[in-house]
Amino acid sequence: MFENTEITSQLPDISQIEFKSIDKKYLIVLLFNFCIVAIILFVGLYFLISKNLEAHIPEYTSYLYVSVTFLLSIFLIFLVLGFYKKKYAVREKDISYKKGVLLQSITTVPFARIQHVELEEKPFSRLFKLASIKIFTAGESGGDLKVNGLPKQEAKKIKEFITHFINE
Amino acid sequence: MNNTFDFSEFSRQSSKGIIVNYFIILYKSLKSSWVLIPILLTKDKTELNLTKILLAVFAILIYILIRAILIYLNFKFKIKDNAFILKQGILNKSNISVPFEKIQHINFKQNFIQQLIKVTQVEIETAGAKTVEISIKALSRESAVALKKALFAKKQETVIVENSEPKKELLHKITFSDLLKVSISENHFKSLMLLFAFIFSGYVQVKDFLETLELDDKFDTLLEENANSLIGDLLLMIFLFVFSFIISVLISFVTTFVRHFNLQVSLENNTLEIDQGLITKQNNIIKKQKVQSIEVLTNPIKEKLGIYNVIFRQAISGKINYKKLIKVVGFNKEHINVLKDVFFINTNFTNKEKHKPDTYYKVQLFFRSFLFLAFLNGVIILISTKLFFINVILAPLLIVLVLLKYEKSYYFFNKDMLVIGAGQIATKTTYLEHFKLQHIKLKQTFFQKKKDVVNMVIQTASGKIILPCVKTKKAIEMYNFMLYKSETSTKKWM
Repeated sequence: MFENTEITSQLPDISQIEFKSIDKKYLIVLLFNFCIVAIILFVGLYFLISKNLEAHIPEYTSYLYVSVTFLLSIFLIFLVLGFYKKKYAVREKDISYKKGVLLQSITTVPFARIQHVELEEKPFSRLFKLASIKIFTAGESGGDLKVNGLPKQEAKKIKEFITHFINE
Repeated sequence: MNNTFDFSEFSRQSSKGIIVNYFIILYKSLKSSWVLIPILLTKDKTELNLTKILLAVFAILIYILIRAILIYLNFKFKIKDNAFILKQGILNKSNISVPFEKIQHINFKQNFIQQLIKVTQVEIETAGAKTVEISIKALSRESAVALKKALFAKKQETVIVENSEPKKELLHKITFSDLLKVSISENHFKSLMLLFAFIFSGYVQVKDFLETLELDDKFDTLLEENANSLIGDLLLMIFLFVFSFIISVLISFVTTFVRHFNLQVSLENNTLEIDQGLITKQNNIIKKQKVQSIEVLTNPIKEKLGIYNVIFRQAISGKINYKKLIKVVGFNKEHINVLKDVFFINTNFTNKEKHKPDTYYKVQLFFRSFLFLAFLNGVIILISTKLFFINVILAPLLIVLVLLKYEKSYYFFNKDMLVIGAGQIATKTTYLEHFKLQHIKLKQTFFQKKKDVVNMVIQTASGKIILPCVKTKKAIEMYNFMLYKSETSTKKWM
């Protein structure tokens, strides 16, 4: 007769495993990207004001600068806070990823369900020898799990580990 | 034609395929340009003479014919090394090769034209990282069956060993009166939405045409006559309401009959075979192993009549295509029990212990309805303050809907599967086996964290399933267990 005793208490627990932080250098990459966006926004705003709005509403232009700065600084705070919340863990049979400041989430993908793994290197990240890992499962398209800011060696190791598992 | 059906060499489909291709292209071009026809008809006729128009139409028809023939000539397929190989394309040539084990299922289909000239459309569906969908438009019934056999030949070796005496038994055959019951108990609001969507999609192009008919003026005078009397307004509203209701009921009838006419479900080993359709006959074969989750749908009227609709969700790639969901209507309770026995052998459903989401879920739902109401009022202020009376009806309605939604949501968790109940007026019950999960996620907003609850999102190959507001401790327990199940399971998920 088929038997199956309860083992709930002895199961590997997701809330007990130790999560690793992503590489500190990735924060520099994030800040660098942020600076580019901020510069583009300010330059665009400057031209918009000097060419067009100055003539119509001169008394409000300074408020525009203030509000854009305010929004960007809020964004920056969440960017930095969010960076420290991004953590990952690789277990023998699955990979987990944690993130989020106000909306926190934790995702786990069992290796047995992974269709393929991608290693992605963006130009800035490459300068710091960083890479992202993208994991695809069946079903909806798009990366199901993406871990940014891994040291390239680590990312390669994870990819090989998963590929080995899939092909077994 | 040869009768041995040798698929090892490249072969074309039946030459009747030209006719099928012809009508498909014709249908597509008409579908994308039908709104132009009334506009053309009302244009000044002096500029165009009849011969010119006829010549143009003739040229288009000839072009379509040439295209149909070229498509036919360039469509070749064969079977080699346990793979189905297809060459197609007039200018953009493509060469597709599908290994047998990647084939999800093979469907036969017959639309009206195909029924007339007695050919069958064979659709080969695959799943994986990249979707390939192959549709052979015209094969004779015999060669279609032969092709299906050849494609399944390798796979069946392993299956047949388990069960040597395949017996096919009829599970469900819909009668005319059943179909009537199903149609009358459909959600008619949905049909009404369908009607509106259809009207608005063509409206912009047809607007000019309508203006030429000067309908607006006639309608305006009609309205003016009644404008001062409140009773007139009320009558008009009642009339519109009843009229659109009748129309939507009619639409429900037509769509149900067209899709599910002559529905027949039979059971063989672990496979369901479904035949249905009035104009387009559809034959689906569903293997137990391929089904990711099952949804049982009903509503208060249907429940009274003892009718349940069932949706079988299979693995999909890319976006969800609702045409691909296989829906069966008009099951009764016994049929559902048979299905449960077939699909979920180990689970005993008699004493299922239902768990409810945390009461914070109710708070969340109320907050969302409040936001919706606030937004609506914002819009109303912009239009006319007279419309505020709508709140008197809407606010209690939303409260009732929220309470109903909370009332209906529950989950049931055991060592093999998860059952999730949801719905407001209608009831939806989703059945999912743990090991079918692709990945799993816990989500928690700032406010949920304070209440110590999380949303659990289970991703399967056929879409997301969400369990809202579960106590964190319980959710982590389920999370661990479902992962354990899918990591140790030896059964194939697809």
